[in-house]
Amino acid sequence: MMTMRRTHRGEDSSRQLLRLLSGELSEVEAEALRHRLAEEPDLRRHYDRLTAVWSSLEMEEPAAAPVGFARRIARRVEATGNDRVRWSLAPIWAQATAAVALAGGIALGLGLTTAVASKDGFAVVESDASLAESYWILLDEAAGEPLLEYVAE
Amino acid sequence: MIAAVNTIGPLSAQPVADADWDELRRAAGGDSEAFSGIVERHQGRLLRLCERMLADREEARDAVQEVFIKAYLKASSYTPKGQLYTWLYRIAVNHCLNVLRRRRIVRFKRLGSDPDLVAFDVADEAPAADRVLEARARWRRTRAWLDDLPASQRVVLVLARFEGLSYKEIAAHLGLSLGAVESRLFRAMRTLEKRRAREAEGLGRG
Repeated sequence: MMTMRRTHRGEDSSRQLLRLLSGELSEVEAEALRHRLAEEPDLRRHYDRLTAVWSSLEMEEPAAAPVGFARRIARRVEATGNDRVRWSLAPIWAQATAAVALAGGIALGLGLTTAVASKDGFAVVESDASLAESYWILLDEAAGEPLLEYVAE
Repeated sequence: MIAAVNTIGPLSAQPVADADWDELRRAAGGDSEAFSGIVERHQGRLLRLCERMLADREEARDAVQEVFIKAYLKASSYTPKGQLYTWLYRIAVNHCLNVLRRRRIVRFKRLGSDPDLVAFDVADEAPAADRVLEARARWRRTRAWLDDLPASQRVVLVLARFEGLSYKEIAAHLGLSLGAVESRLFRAMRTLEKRRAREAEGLGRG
Protein backbone atom coordinates (compact mmCIF):
# COMPACT_ATOMS: atom_id res chain seq x y z
CA MET A 1 0.00 0.00 0.00
CA MET A 2 1.26 3.47 -0.84
CA THR A 3 1.48 6.31 1.63
CA MET A 4 0.94 9.71 0.09
CA ARG A 5 1.18 13.26 1.31
CA ARG A 6 -2.01 15.06 2.19
CA THR A 7 -3.85 16.62 -0.72
CA HIS A 8 -7.34 18.00 -1.08
CA ARG A 9 -10.17 15.56 -1.68
CA GLY A 10 -10.55 16.03 -5.44
CA GLU A 11 -6.85 15.56 -6.02
CA ASP A 12 -6.82 12.51 -3.75
CA SER A 13 -9.50 10.93 -5.91
CA SER A 14 -7.61 11.76 -9.10
CA ARG A 15 -4.45 10.22 -7.75
CA GLN A 16 -6.36 7.16 -6.68
CA LEU A 17 -7.81 6.82 -10.19
CA LEU A 18 -4.35 7.15 -11.66
CA ARG A 19 -3.08 4.41 -9.36
CA LEU A 20 -5.88 2.17 -10.58
CA LEU A 21 -5.02 2.96 -14.19
CA SER A 22 -1.33 2.27 -13.76
CA GLY A 23 -1.84 -0.91 -11.76
CA GLU A 24 -0.55 0.47 -8.46
CA LEU A 25 -3.47 -0.57 -6.27
CA SER A 26 -3.77 -3.83 -4.41
CA GLU A 27 -6.66 -6.07 -5.43
CA VAL A 28 -8.67 -5.00 -2.38
CA GLU A 29 -8.07 -1.29 -3.03
CA ALA A 30 -8.87 -1.68 -6.71
CA GLU A 31 -12.10 -3.47 -5.93
CA ALA A 32 -13.17 -0.75 -3.49
CA LEU A 33 -12.46 1.93 -6.07
CA ARG A 34 -14.34 0.07 -8.79
CA HIS A 35 -17.29 -0.06 -6.43
CA ARG A 36 -17.09 3.73 -6.00
CA LEU A 37 -16.87 4.18 -9.76
CA ALA A 38 -20.12 2.30 -10.15
CA GLU A 39 -21.78 4.52 -7.56
CA GLU A 40 -20.37 7.96 -8.43
CA PRO A 41 -21.01 9.24 -11.99
CA ASP A 42 -18.62 12.22 -11.67
CA LEU A 43 -15.82 9.97 -10.56
CA ARG A 44 -16.65 7.55 -13.41
CA ARG A 45 -16.50 10.38 -15.96
CA HIS A 46 -13.15 11.49 -14.63
CA TYR A 47 -11.83 7.95 -14.82
CA ASP A 48 -13.06 7.63 -18.41
CA ARG A 49 -11.24 10.84 -19.33
CA LEU A 50 -8.01 9.57 -17.77
CA THR A 51 -8.39 6.23 -19.50
CA ALA A 52 -8.95 7.97 -22.83
CA VAL A 53 -5.73 9.97 -22.44
CA TRP A 54 -3.77 6.93 -21.28
CA SER A 55 -4.91 4.73 -24.14
CA SER A 56 -4.52 7.42 -26.79
CA LEU A 57 -0.81 7.63 -26.05
CA GLU A 58 0.61 5.52 -28.84
CA MET A 59 4.09 5.14 -30.23
CA GLU A 60 5.52 3.34 -33.18
CA GLU A 61 7.01 -0.03 -32.28
CA PRO A 62 10.71 0.73 -31.74
CA ALA A 63 13.05 -0.53 -34.44
CA ALA A 64 15.60 -3.29 -34.02
CA ALA A 65 19.28 -2.38 -33.91
CA PRO A 66 20.60 -1.60 -37.40
CA VAL A 67 23.21 -3.89 -38.94
CA GLY A 68 26.69 -3.08 -37.68
CA PHE A 69 25.42 -1.02 -34.74
CA ALA A 70 27.36 -3.01 -32.14
CA ARG A 71 30.52 -2.72 -34.22
CA ARG A 72 30.08 1.04 -34.46
CA ILE A 73 29.76 1.30 -30.69
CA ALA A 74 32.83 -0.87 -30.17
CA ARG A 75 34.80 1.49 -32.46
CA ARG A 76 33.66 4.50 -30.46
CA VAL A 77 34.56 2.83 -27.20
CA GLU A 78 37.97 2.03 -28.62
CA ALA A 79 38.42 5.65 -29.73
CA THR A 80 37.39 6.81 -26.28
CA GLY A 81 40.05 4.63 -24.70
CA ASN A 82 42.73 5.91 -27.09
CA ASP A 83 41.79 9.55 -26.57
CA ARG A 84 42.00 9.10 -22.83
CA VAL A 85 45.49 7.65 -23.21
CA ARG A 86 46.58 10.62 -25.33
CA TRP A 87 45.10 13.03 -22.81
CA SER A 88 46.84 11.39 -19.91
CA LEU A 89 50.19 11.47 -21.76
CA ALA A 90 49.96 15.18 -22.62
CA PRO A 91 52.37 17.53 -20.79
CA ILE A 92 51.03 18.99 -17.57
CA TRP A 93 51.10 22.57 -18.95
CA ALA A 94 49.00 21.48 -21.96
CA GLN A 95 46.46 19.78 -19.73
CA ALA A 96 46.28 22.81 -17.46
CA THR A 97 45.81 25.27 -20.35
CA ALA A 98 43.15 23.14 -21.98
CA ALA A 99 41.39 22.64 -18.67
CA VAL A 100 41.19 26.39 -18.05
CA ALA A 101 39.84 27.02 -21.56
CA LEU A 102 37.32 24.23 -21.23
CA ALA A 103 36.24 25.31 -17.77
CA GLY A 104 35.31 28.75 -19.14
CA GLY A 105 33.17 27.24 -21.86
CA ILE A 106 31.58 24.73 -19.56
CA ALA A 107 30.79 27.36 -16.93
CA LEU A 108 28.91 29.31 -19.58
CA GLY A 109 27.16 26.20 -20.91
CA LEU A 110 26.23 24.86 -17.50
CA GLY A 111 24.99 28.27 -16.43
CA LEU A 112 22.59 28.36 -19.34
CA THR A 113 21.41 24.77 -19.08
CA THR A 114 21.10 24.77 -15.31
CA ALA A 115 18.87 27.81 -15.46
CA VAL A 116 16.40 25.83 -17.55
CA ALA A 117 16.95 22.46 -15.89
CA SER A 118 16.53 23.69 -12.35
CA LYS A 119 12.78 24.00 -12.79
CA ASP A 120 12.66 20.22 -13.30
CA GLY A 121 14.54 19.61 -10.09
CA PHE A 122 17.48 17.79 -11.73
CA ALA A 123 21.13 18.67 -11.96
CA VAL A 124 22.79 18.85 -15.36
CA VAL A 125 25.55 16.26 -15.43
CA GLU A 126 26.88 16.56 -18.94
CA SER A 127 27.33 19.06 -21.70
CA ASP A 128 27.25 17.30 -25.05
CA ALA A 129 26.03 14.13 -26.75
CA SER A 130 27.72 14.59 -30.09
CA LEU A 131 28.45 11.61 -32.28
CA ALA A 132 31.91 12.87 -33.17
CA GLU A 133 34.40 10.06 -33.53
CA SER A 134 36.83 11.37 -30.96
CA TYR A 135 36.48 13.44 -27.86
CA TRP A 136 38.10 14.02 -24.51
CA ILE A 137 36.59 13.19 -21.20
CA LEU A 138 37.79 14.60 -17.91
CA LEU A 139 37.14 12.19 -15.11
CA ASP A 140 36.68 12.71 -11.43
CA GLU A 141 39.00 9.86 -10.53
CA ALA A 142 37.84 9.71 -6.93
CA ALA A 143 34.19 9.28 -7.86
CA GLY A 144 34.85 7.54 -11.15
CA GLU A 145 32.43 9.95 -12.82
CA PRO A 146 33.04 11.91 -16.02
CA LEU A 147 33.31 15.61 -15.18
CA LEU A 148 32.96 16.90 -18.68
CA GLU A 149 33.13 15.77 -22.26
CA TYR A 150 34.88 17.81 -24.95
CA VAL A 151 34.26 16.96 -28.59
CA ALA A 152 37.32 17.32 -30.80
CA GLU A 153 36.05 17.53 -34.39
CA MET B 1 41.72 -3.32 -29.26
CA ILE B 2 40.53 -1.10 -26.46
CA ALA B 3 43.39 0.67 -24.72
CA ALA B 4 43.86 -0.63 -21.20
CA VAL B 5 43.38 2.69 -19.50
CA ASN B 6 40.87 1.64 -16.91
CA THR B 7 42.48 0.28 -13.83
CA ILE B 8 40.61 -2.64 -12.35
CA GLY B 9 38.93 -1.32 -9.25
CA PRO B 10 35.98 -2.49 -7.16
CA LEU B 11 34.54 -4.45 -10.06
CA SER B 12 37.28 -7.04 -9.89
CA ALA B 13 37.13 -7.30 -6.13
CA GLN B 14 33.45 -8.16 -5.98
CA PRO B 15 31.90 -11.57 -6.58
CA VAL B 16 29.73 -11.25 -9.67
CA ALA B 17 26.16 -12.48 -9.59
CA ASP B 18 25.69 -11.91 -13.31
CA ALA B 19 28.06 -13.20 -16.02
CA ASP B 20 27.74 -9.81 -17.72
CA TRP B 21 29.68 -8.20 -14.91
CA ASP B 22 32.59 -10.51 -15.57
CA GLU B 23 32.63 -9.42 -19.19
CA LEU B 24 32.47 -5.80 -18.16
CA ARG B 25 35.45 -6.38 -15.87
CA ARG B 26 37.34 -7.85 -18.81
CA ALA B 27 36.28 -4.95 -21.01
CA ALA B 28 37.58 -2.51 -18.42
CA GLY B 29 40.90 -4.32 -18.68
CA GLY B 30 41.00 -3.70 -22.43
CA ASP B 31 39.22 -6.74 -23.88
CA SER B 32 37.15 -5.25 -26.71
CA GLU B 33 35.59 -8.61 -27.57
CA ALA B 34 34.09 -8.80 -24.10
CA PHE B 35 32.53 -5.38 -24.49
CA SER B 36 31.13 -6.27 -27.91
CA GLY B 37 29.33 -9.19 -26.30
CA ILE B 38 27.68 -6.90 -23.78
CA VAL B 39 26.64 -4.50 -26.53
CA GLU B 40 25.20 -7.30 -28.68
CA ARG B 41 23.12 -8.64 -25.81
CA HIS B 42 21.68 -5.37 -24.53
CA GLN B 43 21.55 -2.98 -27.49
CA GLY B 44 18.06 -4.06 -28.56
CA ARG B 45 16.35 -3.40 -25.25
CA LEU B 46 18.22 -0.15 -24.69
CA LEU B 47 17.31 1.06 -28.17
CA ARG B 48 13.66 0.36 -27.48
CA LEU B 49 13.85 2.22 -24.18
CA CYS B 50 15.62 5.25 -25.66
CA GLU B 51 13.32 5.40 -28.66
CA ARG B 52 10.31 5.47 -26.37
CA MET B 53 11.88 8.06 -24.11
CA LEU B 54 13.01 10.36 -26.91
CA ALA B 55 10.38 9.49 -29.54
CA ASP B 56 13.11 9.82 -32.14
CA ARG B 57 14.93 6.88 -33.73
CA GLU B 58 18.15 8.66 -34.65
CA GLU B 59 18.46 10.35 -31.29
CA ALA B 60 17.82 6.99 -29.64
CA ARG B 61 20.74 5.41 -31.51
CA ASP B 62 23.02 8.26 -30.49
CA ALA B 63 21.83 7.89 -26.92
CA VAL B 64 22.54 4.17 -26.79
CA GLN B 65 26.07 4.75 -28.01
CA GLU B 66 26.57 7.28 -25.25
CA VAL B 67 25.15 4.89 -22.67
CA PHE B 68 27.59 2.15 -23.59
CA ILE B 69 30.51 4.57 -23.53
CA LYS B 70 29.48 5.80 -20.10
CA ALA B 71 29.24 2.20 -18.91
CA TYR B 72 32.71 1.48 -20.25
CA LEU B 73 34.16 4.56 -18.56
CA LYS B 74 32.57 3.66 -15.24
CA ALA B 75 33.30 -0.04 -15.49
CA SER B 76 36.51 -0.01 -13.50
CA SER B 77 35.15 1.94 -10.56
CA TYR B 78 31.58 0.67 -10.26
CA THR B 79 30.67 -1.89 -7.64
CA PRO B 80 28.38 -4.51 -9.20
CA LYS B 81 24.89 -4.68 -7.75
CA GLY B 82 22.15 -6.84 -9.22
CA GLN B 83 22.07 -7.26 -12.96
CA LEU B 84 24.22 -5.36 -15.40
CA TYR B 85 21.19 -4.59 -17.52
CA THR B 86 19.51 -2.79 -14.62
CA TRP B 87 22.59 -0.60 -14.31
CA LEU B 88 22.66 0.10 -18.06
CA TYR B 89 18.93 0.85 -17.95
CA ARG B 90 19.45 3.42 -15.22
CA ILE B 91 22.27 5.11 -17.14
CA ALA B 92 20.02 5.19 -20.21
CA VAL B 93 17.05 6.70 -18.37
CA ASN B 94 19.19 9.48 -16.93
CA HIS B 95 20.97 10.08 -20.22
CA CYS B 96 17.62 10.44 -22.02
CA LEU B 97 16.44 12.83 -19.35
CA ASN B 98 19.44 15.04 -20.06
CA VAL B 99 18.91 14.77 -23.81
CA LEU B 100 15.30 15.87 -23.37
CA ARG B 101 16.37 18.81 -21.28
CA ARG B 102 18.84 19.94 -23.92
CA ARG B 103 16.23 19.43 -26.59
CA ARG B 104 13.91 21.80 -24.79
CA ILE B 105 16.62 24.42 -24.72
CA VAL B 106 17.09 24.08 -28.46
CA ARG B 107 13.36 24.24 -29.00
CA PHE B 108 13.15 27.57 -27.22
CA LYS B 109 15.54 28.94 -29.79
CA ARG B 110 13.92 27.40 -32.82
CA LEU B 111 10.24 27.56 -32.02
CA GLY B 112 8.27 28.52 -35.10
CA SER B 113 11.10 27.80 -37.51
CA ASP B 114 10.91 23.99 -37.58
CA PRO B 115 7.70 22.38 -38.85
CA ASP B 116 8.42 19.31 -36.73
CA LEU B 117 8.15 21.42 -33.58
CA VAL B 118 4.83 23.02 -34.37
CA ALA B 119 1.94 21.75 -32.29
CA PHE B 120 0.09 18.83 -33.82
CA ASP B 121 -2.62 19.90 -36.22
CA VAL B 122 -5.79 18.04 -35.31
CA ALA B 123 -6.92 18.34 -38.92
CA ASP B 124 -4.29 15.67 -39.68
CA GLU B 125 -6.57 13.22 -37.94
CA ALA B 126 -9.26 13.48 -40.59
CA PRO B 127 -10.45 10.04 -41.69
CA ALA B 128 -7.85 8.51 -43.96
CA ALA B 129 -8.12 5.38 -46.04
CA ASP B 130 -4.68 4.27 -45.10
CA ARG B 131 -4.46 2.89 -41.59
CA VAL B 132 -0.73 3.47 -41.59
CA LEU B 133 -1.33 7.18 -42.09
CA GLU B 134 -3.79 7.19 -39.22
CA ALA B 135 -1.34 5.41 -36.98
CA ARG B 136 1.37 7.89 -37.90
CA ALA B 137 -0.94 10.74 -37.04
CA ARG B 138 -1.54 9.19 -33.62
CA TRP B 139 2.19 8.75 -33.04
CA ARG B 140 2.79 12.34 -34.08
CA ARG B 141 0.11 13.52 -31.71
CA THR B 142 1.63 11.50 -28.87
CA ARG B 143 5.00 13.03 -29.56
CA ALA B 144 3.53 16.53 -29.64
CA TRP B 145 1.79 15.88 -26.32
CA LEU B 146 4.96 14.51 -24.75
CA ASP B 147 7.02 17.40 -26.12
CA ASP B 148 4.78 19.78 -24.22
CA LEU B 149 5.63 18.22 -20.87
CA PRO B 150 8.62 19.15 -18.71
CA ALA B 151 11.33 16.49 -19.08
CA SER B 152 10.89 15.32 -15.49
CA GLN B 153 7.18 14.55 -16.05
CA ARG B 154 7.63 13.12 -19.51
CA VAL B 155 10.20 10.58 -18.35
CA VAL B 156 7.96 9.33 -15.57
CA LEU B 157 4.97 9.07 -17.90
CA VAL B 158 6.92 7.14 -20.56
CA LEU B 159 8.34 4.73 -18.01
CA ALA B 160 4.90 4.07 -16.56
CA ARG B 161 2.89 3.98 -19.79
CA PHE B 162 5.27 2.46 -22.32
CA GLU B 163 7.83 0.60 -20.23
CA GLY B 164 5.21 -0.65 -17.78
CA LEU B 165 7.32 0.16 -14.73
CA SER B 166 5.77 0.45 -11.28
CA TYR B 167 6.07 3.67 -9.28
CA LYS B 168 8.62 1.89 -7.12
CA GLU B 169 10.79 0.92 -10.09
CA ILE B 170 10.59 4.42 -11.55
CA ALA B 171 11.52 5.90 -8.18
CA ALA B 172 14.55 3.61 -7.98
CA HIS B 173 15.77 4.45 -11.49
CA LEU B 174 15.37 8.20 -11.08
CA GLY B 175 16.36 8.45 -7.43
CA LEU B 176 12.98 9.91 -6.44
CA SER B 177 10.48 9.23 -3.69
CA LEU B 178 7.24 7.39 -4.50
CA GLY B 179 5.35 10.60 -3.81
CA ALA B 180 7.48 12.54 -6.31
CA VAL B 181 6.90 9.90 -8.98
CA GLU B 182 3.16 10.01 -8.42
CA SER B 183 3.09 13.81 -8.41
CA ARG B 184 4.93 14.00 -11.72
CA LEU B 185 2.69 11.40 -13.30
CA PHE B 186 -0.37 13.15 -11.93
CA ARG B 187 0.70 16.54 -13.27
CA ALA B 188 1.57 15.07 -16.65
CA MET B 189 -1.81 13.38 -16.97
CA ARG B 190 -3.63 16.50 -15.88
CA THR B 191 -1.83 18.52 -18.57
CA LEU B 192 -2.63 15.95 -21.25
CA GLU B 193 -6.24 15.70 -20.10
CA LYS B 194 -6.63 19.46 -20.60
CA ARG B 195 -4.89 19.37 -23.94
CA ARG B 196 -7.07 16.53 -25.17
CA ALA B 197 -10.17 18.42 -24.07
CA ARG B 198 -8.99 21.53 -25.94
CA GLU B 199 -8.36 19.53 -29.09
CA ALA B 200 -11.74 17.83 -28.85
CA GLU B 201 -13.35 21.24 -28.40
CA GLY B 202 -11.51 22.52 -31.49
CA LEU B 203 -12.74 19.56 -33.50
CA GLY B 204 -16.30 20.15 -32.31
CA ARG B 205 -16.17 23.76 -33.45
CA GLY B 206 -14.49 22.89 -36.73
